[in-house]
Amino acid sequence: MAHSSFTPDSRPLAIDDTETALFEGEAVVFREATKSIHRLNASAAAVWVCCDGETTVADMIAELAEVFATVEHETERVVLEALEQLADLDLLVRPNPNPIATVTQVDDTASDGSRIIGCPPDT
Amino acid sequence: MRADLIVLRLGANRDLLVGVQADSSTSLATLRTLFADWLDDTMVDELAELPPAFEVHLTSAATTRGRRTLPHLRYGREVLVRADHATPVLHALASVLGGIHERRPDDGRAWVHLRAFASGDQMVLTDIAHPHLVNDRQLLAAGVNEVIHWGLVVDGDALAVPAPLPARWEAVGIDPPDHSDNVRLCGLIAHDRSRLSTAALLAQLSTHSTSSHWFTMAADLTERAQVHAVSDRSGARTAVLALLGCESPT
Repeated sequence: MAHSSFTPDSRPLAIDDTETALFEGEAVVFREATKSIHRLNASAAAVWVCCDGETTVADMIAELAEVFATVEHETERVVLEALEQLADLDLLVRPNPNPIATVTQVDDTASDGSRIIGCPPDT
Repeated sequence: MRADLIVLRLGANRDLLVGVQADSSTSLATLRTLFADWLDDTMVDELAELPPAFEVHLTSAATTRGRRTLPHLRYGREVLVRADHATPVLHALASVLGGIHERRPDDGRAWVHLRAFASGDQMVLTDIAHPHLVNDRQLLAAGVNEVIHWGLVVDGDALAVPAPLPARWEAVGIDPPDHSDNVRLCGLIAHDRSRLSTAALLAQLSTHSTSSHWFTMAADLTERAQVHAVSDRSGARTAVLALLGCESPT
């Protein structure tokens, strides 16, 4: 298996707080905690659906090779890339999850502490 | 004190300040009368140092080349509404201010920010940007109005429209705006110039709210083929009429 943080016996598990919609093979994933939207192409969507904590990476490769009618070593590459992508997006359960970066928007504040509804920035 | 600006103090805790600039002394007087219950003149000088959130133009004025500017409401550079007379502009301002007044940070509700077009108690939402479809004559002729708002609330299968800010309409001789508390969402229209996939359209529309309720609603509409992709104003107009079940005016 190519160099990856996932091994054939890994059982990737999708995080809990997501909603997924599937259309024409692609997936759109909404993550509640970060209020983020992720669009997955067909191969990433297929891998995502398999991330149930039970299916091994080896099983994913075998199953998707059959579904997409591709040779296993090519499917292995695609599956591992998809898993790394999902992991980078923090969509998979990790032993030591990365802290979620937050961006705090600071409103204008008046001298009495009231928040000022301002003019939108030019786009 | 700046002569063309009013400052309104809004919010449940009266801790939100909104500056509204008027285009004339007459317009300013109208605004002061209409929103007398919300004025905070003590903050005018302080807010005068910032660009106003809204600009209200209630008078029709001649410009060069024989054209006229119509009454309109501007939020920054965006014209939110334009009309032949002042009443729709004031109604739109009251609607936006009502949304600002009602909305609280982290109030737990699912707010969505898309442009809204309604006919009766049915509504469609679109991400097509201003100035497309502002004061669109064909939509108006078909009985479709744009609902100017500061955010809509996903309420089960419907959308809740915040009430306009209470104002002294009688004092300025104008009927108060009509208001529907809840409307049925009939469809979504995505502005798409690059022929996105269905999933990509859903992703695009989903970004207009941070709520999973909105995502679920949008996904449901997508599954029911009630999401239209349009590339231009004409397409958007056609989609609005189709989704609302309105006949296109001849």
